[in-house]
Amino acid sequence: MEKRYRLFFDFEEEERWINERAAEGLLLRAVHYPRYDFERGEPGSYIYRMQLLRQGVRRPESRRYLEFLEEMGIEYVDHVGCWIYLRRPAAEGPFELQPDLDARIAQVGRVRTVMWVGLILEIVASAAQLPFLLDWAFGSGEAAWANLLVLLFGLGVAAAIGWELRRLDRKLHRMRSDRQIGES
Amino acid sequence: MSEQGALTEAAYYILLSLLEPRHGYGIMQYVAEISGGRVHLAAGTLYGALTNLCDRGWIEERPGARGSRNKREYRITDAGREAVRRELGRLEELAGNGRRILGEAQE
Repeated sequence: MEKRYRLFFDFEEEERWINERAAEGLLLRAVHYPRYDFERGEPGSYIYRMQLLRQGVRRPESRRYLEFLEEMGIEYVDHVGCWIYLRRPAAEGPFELQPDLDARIAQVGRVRTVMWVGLILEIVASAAQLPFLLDWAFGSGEAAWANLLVLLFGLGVAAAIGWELRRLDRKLHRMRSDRQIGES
Repeated sequence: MSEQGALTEAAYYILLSLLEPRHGYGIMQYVAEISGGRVHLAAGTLYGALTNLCDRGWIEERPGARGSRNKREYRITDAGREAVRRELGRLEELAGNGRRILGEAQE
């Protein structure tokens, strides 16, 4: 088992990275964010896809979906939250899960929602540091280095999320205008 | 005036394929065959469409039938038959107008 550590913001980039590893003969077997566990295998023997479910994997609707995928020859690899990792032997041909725009628009919409929640939490966590920092700045409180670090880190993460959100919004806008013309 | 909007290509072909009971993989193969290899139903799309068509009452899971290797089978309902006929009518209108207007434009 070979382990790699990566932090991804963009699921398309993550999926691409997993498939690049598969092309090299490193086949993904488990994900324990941010650790990816690979086993050695035939290079290019599997194609991997990721999908964001509406509900957790143990919910009945998700189970039915995973059963259906299994009937279609698609193997469940692992999950992180509502994200599932799937694979299919490359020998069975090209592997697309949801080429239709409506499903892809819905998925990008859900990713956006999760990111917004993350952004708000980061802002709140950063704002919570302010009372300590203000006390420190105006001399009445103790040195609040830890609070400062948390604030700066929080703002950094918030900025990264914000940047990614802008990118997703542009993508969503493009997809919606494509949707005016066709289904995929 | 029909209240039914345009069906997606996937929905139309799935309804046609379920005039005979089939399971998911069978639907995918049949649709690829009748479309001359043009339409490949992706698993996620297929699942979403099957769920949607079931909710509308246009298809149903065949009770008790799990086919070979325990796969779930589906079949069209009377309402589904009606829906796909209406859709065919709409497509014929589109094709007819297209042929006529493009034909006129070439003269």
